[in-house]
Amino acid sequence: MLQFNKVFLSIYLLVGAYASAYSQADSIERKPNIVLILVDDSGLMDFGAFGGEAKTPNIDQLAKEGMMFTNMHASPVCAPSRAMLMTGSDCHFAGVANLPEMLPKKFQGKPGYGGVLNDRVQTIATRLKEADYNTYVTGKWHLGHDQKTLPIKRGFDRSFILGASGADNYEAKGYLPMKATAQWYADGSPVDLPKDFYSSKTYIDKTISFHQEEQNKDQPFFSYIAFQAIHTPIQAPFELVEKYKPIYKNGWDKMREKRFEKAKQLGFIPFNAELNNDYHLFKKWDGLTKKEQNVYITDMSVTAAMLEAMDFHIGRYINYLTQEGLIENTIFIVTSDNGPDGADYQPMELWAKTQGYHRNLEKYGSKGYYGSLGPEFANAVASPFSYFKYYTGEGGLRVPLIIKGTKLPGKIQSDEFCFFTDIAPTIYDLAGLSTSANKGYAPITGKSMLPHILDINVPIYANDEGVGLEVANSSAYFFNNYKIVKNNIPIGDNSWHMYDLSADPGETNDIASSNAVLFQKMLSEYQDYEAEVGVISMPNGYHAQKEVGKKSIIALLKSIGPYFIVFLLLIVGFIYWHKSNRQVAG
Amino acid sequence: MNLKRIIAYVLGGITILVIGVAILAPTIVKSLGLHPDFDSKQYNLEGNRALIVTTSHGVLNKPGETTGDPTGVFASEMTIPYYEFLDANMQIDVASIKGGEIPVDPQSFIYFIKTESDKRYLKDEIFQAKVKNSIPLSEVNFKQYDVVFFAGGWGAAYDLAQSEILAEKVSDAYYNSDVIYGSVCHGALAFTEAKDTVGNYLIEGRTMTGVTMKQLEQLDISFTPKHPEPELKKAGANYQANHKTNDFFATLTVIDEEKRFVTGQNQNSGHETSQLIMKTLSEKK
Repeated sequence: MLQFNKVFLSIYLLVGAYASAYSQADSIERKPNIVLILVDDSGLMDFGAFGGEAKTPNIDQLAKEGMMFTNMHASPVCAPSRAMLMTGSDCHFAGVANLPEMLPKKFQGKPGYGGVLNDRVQTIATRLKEADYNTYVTGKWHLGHDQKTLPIKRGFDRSFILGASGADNYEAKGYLPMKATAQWYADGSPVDLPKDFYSSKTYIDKTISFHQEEQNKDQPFFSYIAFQAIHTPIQAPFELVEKYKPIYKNGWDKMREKRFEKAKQLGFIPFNAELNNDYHLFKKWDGLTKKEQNVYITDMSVTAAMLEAMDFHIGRYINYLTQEGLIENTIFIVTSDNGPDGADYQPMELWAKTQGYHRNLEKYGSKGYYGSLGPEFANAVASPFSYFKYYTGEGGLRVPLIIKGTKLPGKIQSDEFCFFTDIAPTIYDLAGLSTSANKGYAPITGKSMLPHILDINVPIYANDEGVGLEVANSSAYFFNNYKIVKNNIPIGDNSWHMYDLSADPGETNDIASSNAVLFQKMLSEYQDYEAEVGVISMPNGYHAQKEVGKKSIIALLKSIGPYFIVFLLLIVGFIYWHKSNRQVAG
Repeated sequence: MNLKRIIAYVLGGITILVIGVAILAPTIVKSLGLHPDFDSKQYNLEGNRALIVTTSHGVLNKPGETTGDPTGVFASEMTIPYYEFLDANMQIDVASIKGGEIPVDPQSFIYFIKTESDKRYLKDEIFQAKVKNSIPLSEVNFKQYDVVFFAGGWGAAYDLAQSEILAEKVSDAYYNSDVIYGSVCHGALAFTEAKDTVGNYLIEGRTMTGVTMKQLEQLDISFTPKHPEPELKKAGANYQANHKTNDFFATLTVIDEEKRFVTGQNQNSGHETSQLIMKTLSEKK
């Protein structure tokens, strides 16, 4: 692979394509179109080309023809990741250090913790307008939906977006008691959903319509598509689900091992890497009844089918761009916002039923189905890593990344460390813009990956550059191949550990005590990172899911409160009626 | 008044008294002189590096025995300088004689002894991680630091003065760098075996302090192998100390004439000693 790459690169350099493709002179004529596809909650190995079980032929083709990155790190939580993706700045700078729903009340609205994009940062769309790009967004925005933060105010010409963190995929409905409703916005105004709405389908329909309605077709475009797939509730066309059931029938442990072996074969991890299986909080597959197993198998199958459906619609977009003759000059970037979601949604099912959701396994995936992975299958999806969404273990952070452009080197697999803030400056580099923030704005903390894309031997981060990360009391600091990490409770122990990711990507062997000098240096550098970006420590005993649970219960009580009062009045009325009847009888 | 009633009143009175004393204990011991407040000045020493070195010995064993009460570093002697330096934006490493997890004297966390710095430490995962994974003495180079500070506690009586490597490192960095040394209490034992270029004691003639024999005897732990007062005197230092009826409540911080060694008498001297170190460092720069 590497050999091939070098030959390819030499030819590339010889014909001068590298020099001319994105140099200032040429780019004035033909800047590349950029399609940025964000999948929700997909682990590194979910796409077919990355070893996943789901059929994703269109994504696979992009991966095989382009560059596959196996060492991309996002934040473990969706909105902070999206803020970093859209701005290239650390999420604390961007105002989205944590989700408002995961934040104890007294921290809400503190600098960096507003939960919506602030004015200290500019988005990719705003910056690309400097180079006269047409800018479109469809899908889950989740960076604010008021008049300062809707996409139309943040550089996008056209938009069709969901404001919230998640929603039903078939109709306008929320997915948590505190988010019982969901609102979509088209070009800055609230909008009703089309009758044939299915999230992945509609987002591509709308994107294509933006192209069709475009007045300035000669200009390059930036198209950001943020799918709801595969966020809870997991829903997919019924007919796609059944075939996945035999694949997952042996349960989560087998699946986790299978992906682990596959990761070795694909060269994602060394052959002597180890898999961490020490999760005492999780259910045991063999301890479940057949019926219970079937519930889990079904949800895992719906997840795969949801990916397949998404891929199908991506294929439709690729076809459209091909037909329009736009594909040659289009660069695709495909990634995910964080690892698989291991939250337990079972306690929400009762509420979900009051909202018209169902758990009918005969109608799995279809309209109204309230599907979720659960921690055990999420842990299997996160294989070969430890932890999942919300945690800074690699399973929460490591996401797939594909960069494919006809004029860029392809058929390459890169295991170079990269971080979510690198994507925006990479796009700026591709568009011939400065990779630094404009004057008066918070620094862009990421680095352009373009030098590495053009020559895989050029590292993205120099060997004296580290990267810090913090969200919801989970933290990490990366330095060369090393990582120090603190995972919050309940699955983490809230204390710091150190791993050599090149040898131990599964984070099974803590090397802090045998590397105390480096460990302490990295701790001090992490501390500097915290001070620089303005991290606020959460109180003792804080954990994100508990906070979400607490807010859900309050929301639930608020929603059933009026019914409860009516119920009480009825009882009082009945007693009064009963008494007066008896008096009449007496 | 019958007897029962009298007993009830007496018992009630005693209970109230005990509760009152328990509640007031932190204030009482502080007013007597334990961990006194110090009018700390805010320094900015960004770019400077400090190293805190502690004991690795965790058992208060008597001569000839291997078992005893748990001991180690006295928490405040490590946490107070750590936060003084950290709040001045210094980068701090934590080392111990053997490396690995540093034993911390559990008595330091008794509620009326525990300092604000100790409370901060108990919530500080970063500092805790450094204490759990301290750098072994063999792997540290004192010359890379601007300050090297030795914390005390009874554990230090067992392994600071006894370490030949430590004595060598102290001498080496004294001659080959500008490092400022600091210590409180038993931490001064780090200096007592260091030699100068001709083989004399490095600290000969220097004004220094460390925990007094009187304090050790009053606390009934003078059976530990090395005592700062006699060891400092033996090495020719100009030993100074303050005394009170109970030396546990006394304190003193001194600096040698060459301004290379800043020493504090005991657990009460942490703030003042750290402050004098930073004052000396900032005047030097």
